Amino acid sequence: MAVIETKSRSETDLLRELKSGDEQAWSYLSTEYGNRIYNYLRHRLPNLEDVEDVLGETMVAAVRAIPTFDGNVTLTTFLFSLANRKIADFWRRRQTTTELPETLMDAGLSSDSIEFQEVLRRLRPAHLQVLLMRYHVGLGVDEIAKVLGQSYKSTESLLSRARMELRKALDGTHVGDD
Amino acid sequence: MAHMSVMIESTRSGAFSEQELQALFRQYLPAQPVPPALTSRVTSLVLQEVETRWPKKRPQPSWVNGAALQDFFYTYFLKRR
Repeated sequence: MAVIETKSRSETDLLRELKSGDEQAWSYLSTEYGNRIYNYLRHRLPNLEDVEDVLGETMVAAVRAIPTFDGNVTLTTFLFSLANRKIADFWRRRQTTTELPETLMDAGLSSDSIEFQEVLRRLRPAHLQVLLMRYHVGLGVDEIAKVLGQSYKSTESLLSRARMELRKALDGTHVGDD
Repeated sequence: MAHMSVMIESTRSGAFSEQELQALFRQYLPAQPVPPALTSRVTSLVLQEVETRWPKKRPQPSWVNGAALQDFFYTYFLKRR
């Protein structure tokens, strides 16, 4: 169901190449996996400059962390854990975790899409985070649990609460009423 | 959009199902491609860091290697004794 797929390539082989400092493997990682992280960051950060900074920081952190990464989780989980840490660092630097001040609206989006994004931004940050990882990026519940460092059960219940909040938030909108 | 309208109406009573949410996000929050310039900048940043972590070894001149030196010393010093 993954919305943003990465091209198939054996993770074991890729990890071995990354650990040996293979430049082609690193280029591949930043292109293929970077795409999913980019789409996630776009809805967690205020503007494209911040997305670019945090994406760069995440990928550089991956280069630094890969020698000690034991492969006990997927590369996607590994990268999203780093991305979430970098997002937290970003907001800590800003000393705020309040609503996103600006939007990353794309030209040509339908009014429903814009309204949907506005609804998402009003959700609790933890709910937005899991909804994006699950339904926008396409991570599995087990992967999200590992990214968040929570159990599968508690991640499922967090997702359930997030779905409920989204449901309530959308009830007061015109999304889908065209 | 009519399809979404029907879908949302059909579940007014409770939370969304997995399939409904997948459709909702696909429809209203489509994935965007990374701008090529951004991909280039990030890849270049990554490769710089890779170069720092795994510095490329300078290629040795072909005549300076262990076996060649051993041969040289054997031929010109040890053998002549």
